Amino acid sequence: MSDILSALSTTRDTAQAFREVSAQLHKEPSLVLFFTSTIHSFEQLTSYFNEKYSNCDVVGVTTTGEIGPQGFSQHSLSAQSYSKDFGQVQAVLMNNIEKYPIFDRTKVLQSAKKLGIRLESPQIDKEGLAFIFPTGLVAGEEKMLSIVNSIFHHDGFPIFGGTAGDDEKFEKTIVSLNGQQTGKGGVVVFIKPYLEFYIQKENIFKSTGIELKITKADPEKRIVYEINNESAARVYARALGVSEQQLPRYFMKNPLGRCFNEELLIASPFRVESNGAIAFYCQVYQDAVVELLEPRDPVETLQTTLATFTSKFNRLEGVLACNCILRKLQFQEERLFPALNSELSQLPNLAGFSSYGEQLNKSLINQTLLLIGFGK
Amino acid sequence: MLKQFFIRPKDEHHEEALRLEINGLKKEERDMILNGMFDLIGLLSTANEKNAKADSLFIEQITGIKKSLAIQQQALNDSRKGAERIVSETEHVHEITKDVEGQGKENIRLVAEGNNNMTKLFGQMEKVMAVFNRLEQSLKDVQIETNNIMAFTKMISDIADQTNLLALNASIEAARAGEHGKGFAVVAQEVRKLAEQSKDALVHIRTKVTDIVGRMELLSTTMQHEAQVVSETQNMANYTMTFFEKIEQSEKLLFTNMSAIQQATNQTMSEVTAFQIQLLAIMEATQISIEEINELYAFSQDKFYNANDITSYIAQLYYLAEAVRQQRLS
Repeated sequence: MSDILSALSTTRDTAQAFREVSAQLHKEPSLVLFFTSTIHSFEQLTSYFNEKYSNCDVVGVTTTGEIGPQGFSQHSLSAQSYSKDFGQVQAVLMNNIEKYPIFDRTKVLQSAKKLGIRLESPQIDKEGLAFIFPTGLVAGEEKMLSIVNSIFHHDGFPIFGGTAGDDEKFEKTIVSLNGQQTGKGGVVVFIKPYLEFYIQKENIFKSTGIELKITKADPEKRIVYEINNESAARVYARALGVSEQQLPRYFMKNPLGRCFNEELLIASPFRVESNGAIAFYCQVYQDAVVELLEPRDPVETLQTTLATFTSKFNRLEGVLACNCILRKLQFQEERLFPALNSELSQLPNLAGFSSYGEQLNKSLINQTLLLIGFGK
Repeated sequence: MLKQFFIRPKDEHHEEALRLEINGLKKEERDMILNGMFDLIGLLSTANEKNAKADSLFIEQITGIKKSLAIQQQALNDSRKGAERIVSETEHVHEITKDVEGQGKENIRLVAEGNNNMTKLFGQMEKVMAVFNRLEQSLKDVQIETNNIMAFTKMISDIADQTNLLALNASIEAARAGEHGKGFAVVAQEVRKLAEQSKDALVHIRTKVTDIVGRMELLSTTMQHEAQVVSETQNMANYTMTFFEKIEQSEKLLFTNMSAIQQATNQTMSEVTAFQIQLLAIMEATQISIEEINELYAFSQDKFYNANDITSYIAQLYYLAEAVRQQRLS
């Protein structure tokens, strides 16, 4: 049996869905992750999972679309279990990442230490990794990351995560650890795996070559007021050659990216405010030069991504995926799920979800697919 | 006010003392501290913004440098390709000139051989002419001899005539002598017959000699004609030889020119190759610069993440101070 197992159920009945999913997981795992649509009662699922897996850490996350062994899914329940042979696990719940993640810093620090992670190691990337699952809609991801990363003396600890969603209702997202739920916090799972792991980031965008300079912004609130010293929405729309009214329709396909060398950090616009400012899904800095992006072919891009990803392993045991909500919406609109799923379904024991934000190491990124694979 | 705050090292006892001090603060003191904290948060925020702004400018600058380096690299690459094309073209020219030079060498050899053959031919013709000349002399000698023969025949003819006359006189004398002269008359008759026969033989000889002289003259004429032809041929051969010489000279000139071209192309090759080496060195240097820029990028990315963290920390600090002011966690 593989050290990682995954299952997905599209059954609407929550109890039945849980039975279907749990039947395919490890009997005595070291960690269980479940990702659920808001069609299921999170409360109910949390209690089912905790009852059945009372001897291990169970993390629950609400989503905006699930990912299972066959790829993208909707209105479903997806889960993944990690065997005892997979590695050692220590999970911790942060109660409030909106304002006071600092309160849980000691808890986070002790949890990492308990797992034997040498926080002072200069080769911190060899000490293990962490999954993080922040709640969405509270602009807390960066604050959560800043606290989790603050426990290490050196940069470079691998962190992989996705923000909880709520099926695009934008009301409330929830994460839970071992039965304890939070709508403003997040879960950190430290792992010392016996298997090797590799993280791959995919974005389907490339630069149009159009550069914009953010001239007035509030990074903490994730709002950009002015671009090139004019109303942000006006400049953005002009750069795209569309009217300000049409602008939101282009957000999905034409986000902004900050180019660090060859690497693109994508900032996705969220909505146009009444004053012509634009709210984003992540922090955008004043005076940063960003580039207007345009999409590549998603299926071809995924093929390339998966070819690289799978080439890193002789034997791949399982994969966890976090896919941005905007990508999901685009794929849905372009009816690309079947084509993309025929690629994704080739990955063994795949699970994950579509998220309101993706976290990689020290940063919160948007419009990205993150894959983490475990194997040899 | 808050003495413990400034005492190091911090430990649990220290924190407890600090907490006691905070709890012992008067309202005005607490407000002062809070105001100070908010001011400091504001200042921190501004400082962080300035820092982020500087970082952004820094990234903008290195992006600019990297772009111009990339353009430069592209231009260098184009130059390198150009140089490669020059080398390959020059190599081509080199090949061609080498062929031409080889062909030229062969031509010179062929021309020399031709010239040599012409000289030999000319020599042969000289020999023919010499033979002709000797033959002509011989003919002249023969002519003189035949003339001599003709003179002798004339002399013999005269002698025969005189002999005939003498024999006639003798016959007349014999007749006068009568019987006694009868025997003598027979002898005289026989002598006359011999004289007649001699004359007949002489006529025959003359005819033969005239015949020979005629043939000799014809031969002489033919030979003169042939000698003329040979002479003309010799002239033509001479003329041809001058052409061969001219061809040889031009071939030699061509050969020299080809050698010059080869030298020039060799020079070009070595210069272009040197240029290529320089280009490669420059490209390597540019590559190193690009790599250094990439390191700068990595630094700026780290700084960017730090700014992210600081922004998050400042926000949290603000929320904490706000919670103290409100006297509740919201």
